[in-house]
Amino acid sequence: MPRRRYLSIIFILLIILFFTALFGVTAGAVTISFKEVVRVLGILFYPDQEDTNFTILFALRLPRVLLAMAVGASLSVAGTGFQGFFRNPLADPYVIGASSGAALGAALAIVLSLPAIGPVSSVSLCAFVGALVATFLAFSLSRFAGDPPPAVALLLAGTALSAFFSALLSLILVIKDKDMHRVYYWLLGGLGMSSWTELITAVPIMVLGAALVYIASRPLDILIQGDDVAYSLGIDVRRLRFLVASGASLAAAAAVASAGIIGFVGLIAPHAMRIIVGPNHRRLLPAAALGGALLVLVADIVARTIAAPLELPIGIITSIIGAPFFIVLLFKRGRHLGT
Amino acid sequence: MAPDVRLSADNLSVGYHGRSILSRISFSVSKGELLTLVGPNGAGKTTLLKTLAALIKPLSGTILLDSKPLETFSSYERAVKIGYVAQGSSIHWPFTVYELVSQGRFPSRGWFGSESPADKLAIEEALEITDLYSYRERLVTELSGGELQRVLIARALAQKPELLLLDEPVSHLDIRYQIGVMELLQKLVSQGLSAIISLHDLNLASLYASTVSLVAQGGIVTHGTVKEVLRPDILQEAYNINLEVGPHPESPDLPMIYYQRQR
Repeated sequence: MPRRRYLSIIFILLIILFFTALFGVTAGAVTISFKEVVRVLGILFYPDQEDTNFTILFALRLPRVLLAMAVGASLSVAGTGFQGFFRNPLADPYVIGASSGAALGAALAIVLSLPAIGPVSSVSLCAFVGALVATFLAFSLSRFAGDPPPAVALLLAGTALSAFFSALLSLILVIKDKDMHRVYYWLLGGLGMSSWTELITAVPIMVLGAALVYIASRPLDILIQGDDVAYSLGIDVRRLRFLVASGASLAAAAAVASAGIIGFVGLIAPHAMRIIVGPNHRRLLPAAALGGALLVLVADIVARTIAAPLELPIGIITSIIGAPFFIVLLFKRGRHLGT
Repeated sequence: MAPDVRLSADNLSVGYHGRSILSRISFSVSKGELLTLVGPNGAGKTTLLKTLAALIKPLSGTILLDSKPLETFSSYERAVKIGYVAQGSSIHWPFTVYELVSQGRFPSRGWFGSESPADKLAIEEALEITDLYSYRERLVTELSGGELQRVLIARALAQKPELLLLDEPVSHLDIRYQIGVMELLQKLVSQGLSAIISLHDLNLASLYASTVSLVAQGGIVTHGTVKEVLRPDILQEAYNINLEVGPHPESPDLPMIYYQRQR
């Protein structure tokens, strides 16, 4: 694809994302007209904390819309990274168990009341370690079945790990039931608790994770074709794998920490973008980030408007779209997966 | 040692997990030489090629590349000198031909380097010599087996290697593409490249190889010119079948293998 066409696709995605975000700010339990948004934008320069619409827009909706986009972009970049790492387009933070690993890590940090290390909260750190451990476990387990790991082995390993981590998580909650509320609040938090603080803590970690995956773009293009190809082109496969797994785990853990477990975003967005812009990671990763941002933003808007004032967990929406997509992908490409 | 020796193996033993598959391997490949490895399935040709490509470590013995031990090269230095194409490579990611061939510049460009004029030249030369120039924008997932094999060779050539290692480059190809790949290799070695390839088709080996190594029974049984190696007694012993060897109708110097029914 010529560079110009690629850039116009990115530009179109940005425009769609911008208008969806604008719509996301106006939509909700209280509908705020576009005109009102413009009026409130004016207030921005003369802050008036008494204005209800100002509060709704700036304290609630705007951070939520931004966080939804950040979470979507992170999950999608993490998915793209994991797909390269596993050489398998079915890998996704949710599918391989990285999300539940992150959740378990976070829960442990909460119940053990681990102290923060410098500016990094122990919850974020443990979520990251949990995701990383899950990734390497899924990798080692599926590797027993062959190299590259066949799709089935990867899915089985991921499912088994997810089940195991979830069981441990439930066990912890049963034993430490006084923390149950806090852990659940954190896990199922969804985007309902979005705030500027949440945004400011999560986004740097997400950016760091995405950047680690992005700098590995070029060797990742080669790694997905096999370890031998990578070695023969001089790539330090271990170092590359570690970098990609760390970046993807960071991004996934930060997304889980901000919005709970949201499935399939890391599967749908990269896959759709791969069809449009191709498998070249330099191009794929930015497009996948925008696609993921759009997907979670739309899912969140649907989640909070379809049954307003009741708010559905966003994971329900992405799973309703994602699970059939996953099955179609498995049927259509099942024979070729894992190479 | 002759000055034009590219790669030499001395008393090499290769295998996996400490278990030797081939041992006492000694040979050398010179500039402009096409060495073909022939021998029964499972004899260890792939293992030997992987060892020469430094994908696996030899169990013992030494490999010298340009008179320097292979293990002293950094992975990038090595990748600039040796191009390797694995057996039966297939690619399920829809890269364009140009993208895939440009990956051969990775050892020179590294993780971040942008495409230099030298990179561009190397890629275009590789596309040119493999007759793929008009395929640049095609997706590799939509190519035939023969076309894909040429793309993979082109990627290895874009590395600007001195030595090309190809594991069964013509298996799964129809006769026309088999000849096409072999003609390409002959053209490349005539320009000074060295190549070590494994082949099953003994007649192709006879037509195109400079030297042949027969790999069987845990070692190199015979190494030499096609006439020295492709002899009925040697081949019958290695493959355990009856066959006859006669001259090629047009080039009587080249031995041709005639298989026989066994009963």
